[in-house]
Amino acid sequence: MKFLFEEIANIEYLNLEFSKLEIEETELDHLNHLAKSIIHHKTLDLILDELPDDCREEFLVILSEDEDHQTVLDYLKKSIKDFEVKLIEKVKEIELELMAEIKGEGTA
Amino acid sequence: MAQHQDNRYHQIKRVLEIHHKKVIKDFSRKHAPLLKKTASKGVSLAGAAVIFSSLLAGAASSDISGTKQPIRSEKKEGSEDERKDINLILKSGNLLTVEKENEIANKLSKNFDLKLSSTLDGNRLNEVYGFIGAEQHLYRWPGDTLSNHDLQRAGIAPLKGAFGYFDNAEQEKYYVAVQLHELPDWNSKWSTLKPWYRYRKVFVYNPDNGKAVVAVIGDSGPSKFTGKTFGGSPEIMEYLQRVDGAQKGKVVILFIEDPDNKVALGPVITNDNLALTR
Repeated sequence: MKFLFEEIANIEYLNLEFSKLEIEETELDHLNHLAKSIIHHKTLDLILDELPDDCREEFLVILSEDEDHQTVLDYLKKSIKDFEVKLIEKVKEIELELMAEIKGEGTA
Repeated sequence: MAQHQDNRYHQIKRVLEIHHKKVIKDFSRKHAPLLKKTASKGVSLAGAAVIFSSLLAGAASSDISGTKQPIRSEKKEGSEDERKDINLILKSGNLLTVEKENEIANKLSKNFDLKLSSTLDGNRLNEVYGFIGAEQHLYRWPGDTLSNHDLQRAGIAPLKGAFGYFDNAEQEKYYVAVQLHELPDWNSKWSTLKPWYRYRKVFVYNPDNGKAVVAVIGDSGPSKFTGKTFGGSPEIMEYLQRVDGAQKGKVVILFIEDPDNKVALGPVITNDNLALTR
């Protein structure tokens, strides 16, 4: 099951960082899940901020009914100017923020 | 080298878990009115449950599922008065009659918008109201380790639960142990009863604070000599604010009628206790 942001952006830096670890698959899954869930909630926050007030509820309804994210992506592209660009930029920003935190912890 | 890798994994995991918890908290606070409003209109939240999980998880968990989940319950009305009524019934005598059990089930059903009963498909637990003790984590699947669970101070049991490995992580997170071995027909009918009780959904209610969790029956126990009737997973005990030992407290456990598997496991958030997470 994909998070919504994964339909448009990927997290290559974090994937590379996690791949350096010699860990079990379940541990890798856990790190991936945490990172993606952080990005997912922050991108949802971006979407709710960008959408006009009267569209937010409708967005949640569509999201609740959309099995493959296509309808909701169409809706967002139509409702938010430069949605894909904004989403990709946001994902990169969060990814770099997480990378800095991870690196900082590693050298502390 | 292996030790270094292990340390590095735990460092990264800690950073992400702290960050994750903060993100969930911030998101829940910021968007709670919108999410509550949408949920109150009866929108099917199956696909959007990942959003609502943020709202509903509170501070009890950092494991927010990114997958589609069943719907969680929304409260309708009047929980405080109902809670007082239920407490009066529970404390009115030593034994709960079937009539009293039904009365409690009806009040809780109305209050939490769930179909609850003490008897389902002709099956009933030996008790519906009793002391709950703290259980350890259980192995969810082969290769599982304590480090993959939240609330690691609870430890992990050396053996699998009575039903073996779990179907998914949520079941282990919200499991209870009930005294299957005390059921009057267990010894003669265990081969048919065991599959019926395996991961059967139940409603666990703390009458002292009104908090409730949807859980599964994930193990058998505790032994009667312990003075306890039920066992609760670390996550359940934390959410319900129940502790073991001299300060142990009682809970109500009822079956949930959920033939279409629409009720999600985890805390049942009402409009009243939702406010506590803000």
